[in-house]
Amino acid sequence: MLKTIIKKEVLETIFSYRFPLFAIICLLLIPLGMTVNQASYAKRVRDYSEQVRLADEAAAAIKIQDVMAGTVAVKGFRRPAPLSVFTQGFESTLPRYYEFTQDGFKPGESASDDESILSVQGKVDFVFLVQMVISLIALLFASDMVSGEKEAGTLRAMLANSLPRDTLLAGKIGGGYLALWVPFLVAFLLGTVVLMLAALPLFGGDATARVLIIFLATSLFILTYFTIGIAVSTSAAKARTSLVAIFIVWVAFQLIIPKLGDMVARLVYPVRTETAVSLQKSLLVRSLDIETAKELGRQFDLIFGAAPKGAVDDEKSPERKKWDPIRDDIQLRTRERKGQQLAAIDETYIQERRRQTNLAVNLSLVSPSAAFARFVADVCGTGELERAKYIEAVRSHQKALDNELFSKVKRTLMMHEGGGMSMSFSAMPVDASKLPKFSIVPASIAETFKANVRSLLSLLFWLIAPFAYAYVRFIKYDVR
Amino acid sequence: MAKQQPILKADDLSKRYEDGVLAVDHLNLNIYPGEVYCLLGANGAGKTTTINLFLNFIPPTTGTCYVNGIDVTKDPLEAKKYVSFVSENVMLYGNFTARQNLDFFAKLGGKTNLAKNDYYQVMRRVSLQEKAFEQRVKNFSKGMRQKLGISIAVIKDAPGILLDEPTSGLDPKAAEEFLEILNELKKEGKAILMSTHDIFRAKEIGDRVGIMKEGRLVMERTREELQYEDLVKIYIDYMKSEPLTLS
Amino acid sequence: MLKTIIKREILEYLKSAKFLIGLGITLALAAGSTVINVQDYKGRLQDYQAAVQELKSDRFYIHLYRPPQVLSTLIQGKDRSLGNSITITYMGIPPRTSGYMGEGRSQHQRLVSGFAAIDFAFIVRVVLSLMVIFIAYNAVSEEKASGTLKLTLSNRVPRDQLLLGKFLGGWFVIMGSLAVSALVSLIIVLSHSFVSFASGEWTRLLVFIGLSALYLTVFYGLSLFVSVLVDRPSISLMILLQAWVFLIIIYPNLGIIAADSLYKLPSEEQLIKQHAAAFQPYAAEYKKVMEAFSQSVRKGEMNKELGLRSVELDALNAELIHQADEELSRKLTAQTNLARAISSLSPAVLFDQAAERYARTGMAEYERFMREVYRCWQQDVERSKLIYTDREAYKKAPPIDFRLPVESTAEAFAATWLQWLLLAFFGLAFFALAYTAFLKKDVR
Repeated sequence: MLKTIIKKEVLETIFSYRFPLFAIICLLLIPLGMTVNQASYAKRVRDYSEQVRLADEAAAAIKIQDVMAGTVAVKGFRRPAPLSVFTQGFESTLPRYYEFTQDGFKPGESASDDESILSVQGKVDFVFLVQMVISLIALLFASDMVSGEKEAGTLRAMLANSLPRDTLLAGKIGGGYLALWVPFLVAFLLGTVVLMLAALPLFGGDATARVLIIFLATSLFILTYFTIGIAVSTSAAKARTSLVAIFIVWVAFQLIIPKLGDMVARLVYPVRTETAVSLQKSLLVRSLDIETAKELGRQFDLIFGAAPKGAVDDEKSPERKKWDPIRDDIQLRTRERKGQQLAAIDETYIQERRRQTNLAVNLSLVSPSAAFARFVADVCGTGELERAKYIEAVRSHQKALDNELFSKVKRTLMMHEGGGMSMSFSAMPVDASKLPKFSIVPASIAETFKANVRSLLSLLFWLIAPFAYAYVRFIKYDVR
Repeated sequence: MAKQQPILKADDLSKRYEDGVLAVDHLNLNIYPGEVYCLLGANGAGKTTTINLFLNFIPPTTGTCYVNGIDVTKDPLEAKKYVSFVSENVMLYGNFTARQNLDFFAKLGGKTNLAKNDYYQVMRRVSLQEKAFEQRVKNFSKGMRQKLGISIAVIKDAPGILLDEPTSGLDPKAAEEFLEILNELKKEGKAILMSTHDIFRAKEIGDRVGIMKEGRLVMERTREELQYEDLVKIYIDYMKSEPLTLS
Repeated sequence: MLKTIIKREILEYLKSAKFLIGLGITLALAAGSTVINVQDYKGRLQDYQAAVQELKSDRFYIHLYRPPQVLSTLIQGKDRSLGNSITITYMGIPPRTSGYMGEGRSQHQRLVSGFAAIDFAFIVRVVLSLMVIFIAYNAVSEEKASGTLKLTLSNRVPRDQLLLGKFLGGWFVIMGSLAVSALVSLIIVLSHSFVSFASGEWTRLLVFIGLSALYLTVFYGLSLFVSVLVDRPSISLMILLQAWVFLIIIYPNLGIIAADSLYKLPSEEQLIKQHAAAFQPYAAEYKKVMEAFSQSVRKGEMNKELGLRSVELDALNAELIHQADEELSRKLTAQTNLARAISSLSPAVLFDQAAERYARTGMAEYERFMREVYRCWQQDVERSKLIYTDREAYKKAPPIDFRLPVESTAEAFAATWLQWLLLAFFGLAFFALAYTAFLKKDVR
């Protein structure tokens, strides 16, 4: 009985307007999305290779004098993610490189300013098309499949036979989805063939597994929306009501809930502006520097006040032997204090922002569309995880460079009582060719799954709950 | 007639809708194999509700429907094996051909091993044009749809057949052809319940005729009895008289 | 007759659940988003005031700030992301602005479609336009399905009057919704003391509301057209929603991508090489002068000619770099304009361009700011030369006169006539199509 229903659903969908429409849209949009992004990816990889080469050349030519002059800025570049052809995610928002200097790291430029993975700026990628176009079609088709049959009366005709309602529902969902899934499968394969022809590295490492995960996640996503459509239309008596309800559901999931999450989070956990924080930090640095310079000046005058001329430059003079450790000590303490206090300000700010972001993310995960987008972005290496890994790599690279390069030079600024200022240097040799290279450790598939538990739960919920709901409603559905 | 069990039986059947309307009021019906029972009545008299109750599309408020001795609310799936249904506007899948529709409903009705020729035979039997067999039904006329509808009932070969206003909207020739098929089915021993407000056809084909008014069966006559009475006059009289109850 | 039809249409809409739900959602979003944007504006205003207080220019470093626009509470545009401070010296003009404290570095915003912020413009562009589709997708098809279309036309109602009546009825409802939402947002904005509207702001606001009305009319015409054409409401809804997604989301993005590939921009490295190459003829002289100058300073003298020459050469270097940057900026703008031209088929893009102009939160304002920055730089160069030619005059020289130029409403309107024209064209075209199709329609 189930097989008969499924077969009929498949055939009926194929013969109706739904199948050709969906097939055309899939076959056009999905390979298009992948091609467009592939071209952009190729360009980014070329730029990346070129820039890394130039940066390496520049790094090898670093001389200790440059470090002393404080003009050294080492660049660390982020490799574009090959799977960004499926979803841009943060790919264009993340800085293309970071600059590492004596005073810390600074982000280089990025192509855009968006803070949210759920934004719809500048995107025509695979995930975006699935979210915006295919989800809508799945919803509308599902609704059509239930209300359409009711309107045509064939629902009654079927139930005049010895056909259990749950078999009917299962057959409808199974058959209808199957008829939609096949064109999707073909379109996806077509897209991957296009990517392979463009020599995208789809077979290295775990890339194949990831592509498969993307395919499965998308299939699940389509099934979810399809089921939601069926659930909505089994609860509406008239076709018109069900259409309106579906419309509201789609708009809510795609456009409103993600933004709403942001809005509510901003209202509940307001955060200081970056300007205010920067101001706080620069005021702190200024005051600490002045304090230190004054202290150094005082000590210097104390020790060298009565010393013979040239004692400063003579490393072996007794004054120097007294001065050097005191100076180093003061500078060390200042560095530590500065580091601690700046870090404290940063930490507080990061906590504030994290609280806000977490709330926004959690709220947005109510929408299965948002959950899907986040999950796939992480699988492709263009999501939140990548952002976190990037910063991790940047921090550890800064530490490494501090050890290998920047700490080899010490600059001492002194303010003397009486208003004078003086500066002195000390330097150790540096082997520029031995400097560590910047690299980001990508998140493994296991890590991705672990970090996306909430997204996956949301998707599963939206698959199971509507199905259960449809089941219950359909048993009582008035077929007259 | 022999003391047979009725295939279709309504036992003190009542249905009151949520909005308070009493659509069926203590209905008692017994339809035996080999007879055609015509249920007459105005729109809203309760004919369609009765049929919906037999098919368990709605639950009764009181009373029971039996199909082949099975209580339709207690075991609907079993009961439906023994009854076929032809509705007023035959419900078909527009994008399927006649044969594909027939094939699907045959399978739903339990006949899973039929071949193309079996379908062709049945469709020929109901006088559906040959060229229509493999045409999509969305272009069929009403008469063609009715024929296909009855062929679905024929192929299911169930002992009971429910028809809801099957000749409404048919031209005289098509209606005649339709009733001939019903006659044949009756001779094969099927129990047929047909609701209609076509008095003339009811008189022609019905072995028994019942008049429903506001949910109640107010009159029942056999064919013999009707030879001496003017059904038309009776019907109009009943329609014109004061309402029996305010529901 | 016409009035009867219009009245009936309006009443039907006002009683329908879908309208009430849609309006409710719209108002909630308008209120919520405006509250957030006003808070955001307050923060930015405070940052601006703090920066002006704390980081005053000195002789060498000149800080120039761009204040936040008050209408960004309703139309954010690019106000938040374009950066609002720049520090110049006679030695250089940075190519980009940054935040007030130097945090973040803004990009030349090339993106054409606006989806980032939820502001009132978003409410119009997305929410209200969806509500329009929502309301109108079955204006005709539903009546055909229920048979009342036949019924109405069996009276002495000419078809064109019927369609006009339908159109106007729905149109009044939509305009009413727009007015109510605008009112809610306005009240919220004005209820804060730190927000003040000058008369210019009011005018521009009214022009913006007019623009929104036109924008929504375009979608209304489209929905009516599809509703006439397609009999089954579910199909017409699907078509309209797909068209909406395509016009508002996908097509503008395609425009950006097309412009990106059609118009190649130089890379960062190429730019650096360009800078170096431009100054090449002077490089040798620059080195000599700088060395000689530092020697003379160390010796305790101050060679005035060398000093002057060093200022001139530094300024020349800055000028050449600035020219190269301007070249890039021009190319970027050309690319953006190309993207915009390609995307002009999207009513949303047209709407955004004009809206940003009125709110002064778009590229035009930014470019005006940068031009003024350049003018100040030129002033500064002249002043810095005085260090070596006339020390006294230098000490007495007044601070740089930074006058932020402002575009009048008339100028803004004149700059956006094309957007108005195109939108009006689309609106009229859709309605004309709906009209023609309805006259020929089979209403059985």
